[in-house]
Amino acid sequence: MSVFKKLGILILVSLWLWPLASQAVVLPASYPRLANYFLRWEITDAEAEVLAKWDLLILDMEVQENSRLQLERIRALNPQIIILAYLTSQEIIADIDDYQQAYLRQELRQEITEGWWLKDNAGQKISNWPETWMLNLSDGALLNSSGQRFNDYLPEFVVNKLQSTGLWDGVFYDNTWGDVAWVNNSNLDLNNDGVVESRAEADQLWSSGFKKMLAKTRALAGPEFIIIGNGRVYDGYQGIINGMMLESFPSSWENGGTWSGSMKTYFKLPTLNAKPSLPVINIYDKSQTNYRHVRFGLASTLLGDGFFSYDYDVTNHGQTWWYDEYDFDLGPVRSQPYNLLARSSSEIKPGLWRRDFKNGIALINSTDQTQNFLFSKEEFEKLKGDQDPLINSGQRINYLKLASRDGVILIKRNQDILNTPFTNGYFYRIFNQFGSQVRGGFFAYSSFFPGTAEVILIGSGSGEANGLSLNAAAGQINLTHNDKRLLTLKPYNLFKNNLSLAADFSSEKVNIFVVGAGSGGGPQVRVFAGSGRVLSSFFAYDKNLRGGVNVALGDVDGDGELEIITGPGQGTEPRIKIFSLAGELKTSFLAYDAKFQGGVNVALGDVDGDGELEIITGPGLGGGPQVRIFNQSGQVQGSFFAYDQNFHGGIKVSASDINSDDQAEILVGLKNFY
Amino acid sequence: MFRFFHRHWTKRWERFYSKNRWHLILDCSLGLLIIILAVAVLLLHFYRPNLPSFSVVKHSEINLNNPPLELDFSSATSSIKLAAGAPLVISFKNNGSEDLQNIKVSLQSSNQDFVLTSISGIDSDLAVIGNNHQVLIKKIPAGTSGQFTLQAHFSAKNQKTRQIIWQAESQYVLSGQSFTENFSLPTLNLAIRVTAQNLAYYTSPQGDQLGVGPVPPVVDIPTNYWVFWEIKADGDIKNLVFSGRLPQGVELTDTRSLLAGDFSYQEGSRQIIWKVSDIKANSDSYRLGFEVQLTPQGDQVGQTPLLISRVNYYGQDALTGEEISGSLGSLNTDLEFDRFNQGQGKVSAE
Repeated sequence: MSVFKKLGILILVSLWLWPLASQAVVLPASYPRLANYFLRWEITDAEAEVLAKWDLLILDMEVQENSRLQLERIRALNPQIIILAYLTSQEIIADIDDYQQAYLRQELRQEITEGWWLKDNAGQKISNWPETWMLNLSDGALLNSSGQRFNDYLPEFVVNKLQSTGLWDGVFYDNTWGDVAWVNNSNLDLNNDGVVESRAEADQLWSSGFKKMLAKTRALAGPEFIIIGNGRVYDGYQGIINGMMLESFPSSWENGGTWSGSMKTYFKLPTLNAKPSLPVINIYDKSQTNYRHVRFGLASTLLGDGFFSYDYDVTNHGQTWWYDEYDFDLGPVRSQPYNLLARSSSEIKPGLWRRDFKNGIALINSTDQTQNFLFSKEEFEKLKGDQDPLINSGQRINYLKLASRDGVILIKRNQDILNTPFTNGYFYRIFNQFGSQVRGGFFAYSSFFPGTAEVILIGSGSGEANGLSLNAAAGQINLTHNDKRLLTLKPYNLFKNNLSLAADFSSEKVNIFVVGAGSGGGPQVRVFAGSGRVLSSFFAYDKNLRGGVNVALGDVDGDGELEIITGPGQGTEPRIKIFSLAGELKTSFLAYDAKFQGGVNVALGDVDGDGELEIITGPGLGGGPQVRIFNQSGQVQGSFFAYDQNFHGGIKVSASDINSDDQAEILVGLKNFY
Repeated sequence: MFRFFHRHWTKRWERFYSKNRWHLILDCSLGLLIIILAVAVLLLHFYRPNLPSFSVVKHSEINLNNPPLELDFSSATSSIKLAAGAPLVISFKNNGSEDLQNIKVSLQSSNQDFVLTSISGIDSDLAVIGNNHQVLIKKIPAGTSGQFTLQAHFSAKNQKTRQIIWQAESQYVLSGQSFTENFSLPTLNLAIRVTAQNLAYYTSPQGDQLGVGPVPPVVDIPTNYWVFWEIKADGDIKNLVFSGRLPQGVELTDTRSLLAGDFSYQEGSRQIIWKVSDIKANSDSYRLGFEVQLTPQGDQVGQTPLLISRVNYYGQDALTGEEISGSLGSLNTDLEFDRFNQGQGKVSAE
């Protein structure tokens, strides 16, 4: 039976077994896709916590034995993570038995017979890397007692020893060369006949044997088991495996050693690879703080759909270096890459390359000159970071000066506040829970609504406004879909001042909305169904007060029911109250000093990402711009000044996940900032 | 009537007089006494003793419903400025046949929001200023008339009130009679105080980047600035119109922020117009912000180009109906109000 027939049967059998073997990995929908090439044989608890932040981990296979708990911990922290087991495909450490933590390598070594070593014409084992011996992956290798060659055995090892544990999503075969004649000055005797093969013959034997090994791995492990190679890209393997790492990008050995050459390879891989394709660009640099190098590699990677990794160098892949750019969620892809210096050309050549994403763009200057570029009718915001503040300054820009071989990620200016109330025309700053400004401030304004109207723009699942909006102005509530008015009502009849507004809604409709009278009105809260039917009505504070009442709506205590959170208007102590929808008081607490009577604005949001809503407060007129964050029991969780402490004009607070990081940002608005 | 008396006489004759004549005598005596007392009352009523203190009555008669002094108070202006005081014109006329002397006119505020602090500037020798905001008119000869003007000064207790309600009281003596008359003075409207602003920023006063592009501006690269118009007044304003023109080379972007009113841009005249039909007193809700884009040309190197020019506003004081207006001039790239970028307006070549 020929090798191909055997392989055919194997493939057929494996087809039946595949569903049991592994589950399909899901590639991250958002960019950047980050990989960490972390080749230490064991990992600490602390490292496990940090490593869970990456999307793709390439961990040495020995971690399975040495740090199994940590490996499981990473998976628990990040269930979507892709973890590959690293092993060298064509060599093994010479004195591996002397290593204490090399359990799997020692197992592998025990099976290696004399006829599996790669030798020269004198029968001497060959070393291509210090303290390692090369293995013969060709079919010229001798059979062991079981009738196997190394290219038969290695896939079985991977499947039986690694995949079977369920810890790995795939394997990373290092040194996935398509040729071998360059090794040992071509003194190679692959078929063990004592004669040096010609270069062409050596390469052919090597690549066919290697391909056989990869194919068997695929056949045994199944189509959903990820196989990634490393080394100079050999097209013949690419249909079997899921991608290649382009180590030391742009490496001297890849496609001419230029950026353009490596990028051509990078773009080509997804067209050749088995699906899903996971090309990885790795850059190493002994300087952790060579941010320009990081950006250059990251921006290059973002031109394609691959993963980016950055670490020390080839002798030490084992860092957990994290960069400001990694924290920004660019979102899904919105365009293919294009060269701003040659818009009509798709040729991969040095240029100012750009690719658009939902939340921003990636730009890289791969030319030898600094490039100035003026964005036509576009504005972007630089990332705001501490590592390279000159580049990541948070500044809004409409032109860019980008140094040669530098890249940058720019944030699209999105001035729509979705799914939370804002006051039309107010100026808003956006903060995280710690009071750090995460985006530049802007005026939230839509000409569709009157100035100072309370507006809720409802977003679709993709995070963009879907035309459905609820607004309150001059004592009137309007529910509209684009230009069509779905509902109009006056909750307080003759009352014509501003209103406070909160709502529970899906992307399709408003379920419930809550209204509080604004300044000049009594502290009456009215609850409506989306149809406009009154569900309840109650006074949150002394009915004789005329400062109005501010409202927020959400399941703040996690009981599955919505609660109404109220803050008083002017004229009474700053007591926050939590009511049921029916108006039953559940609890209350003071948000500020009891003597402060300027009113309190309220909002709800999961600002720390723990799945529970926090209550956010901002003082009204006369109070300093101090935002406070409370849990449902009224315990302070955080506090910060959103504007100059001497500003006493009153602030409005809202909460919404502006940057798609699964935590609500705090939006703090004011009417006039001067 | 006769029957009534006859019936009554008959009853009493049958019951009393026929039995005892003393009853008849007693009734007649009582009836006579009643008549005497009634006559006495009438006589006392019409009695006019000629006592010495009433001797002046011999002077000409005074019609108390139409006293001889006629006073009239008027104000020459429909609105005043508190610091300058309120002019009050007092017109007088003696309609009587006798001279009037020492007429006291006292002024005072009627509402608690303002206090009359002083009187000054009487422009006539006929009158002098006395104590307690009192004006003393020395003499008004019979049949004469005249007028004089004074300045009344007030202090405000409540800055939100614009109307001064005040009154006067005149007092004089004529023919032994003391005459006092109260007058409601013309209501004084404080002139509306309007604060209108025309400001340009690249960076907000609190450090937020509003604009975009190079500062100082660079030839051929757009720089966006924000212009703010704001108006605040201590009285209601109707039909406010704010306007300004964009110079050549400056374009309006689509980005703006409007707290009230309507925004429009007339491309032909390059005029930006902001209209607000009703402005409420003391509110800070009347602000327009809009972004303009300057793309400097080569011949502007070294210059500080205008961002907006001829900024004017006009409207109507809702209380007095007076027109209010103002001119706020121009703004250029030197950003006078931007503490972060002030003075960085000169266009550079690169």
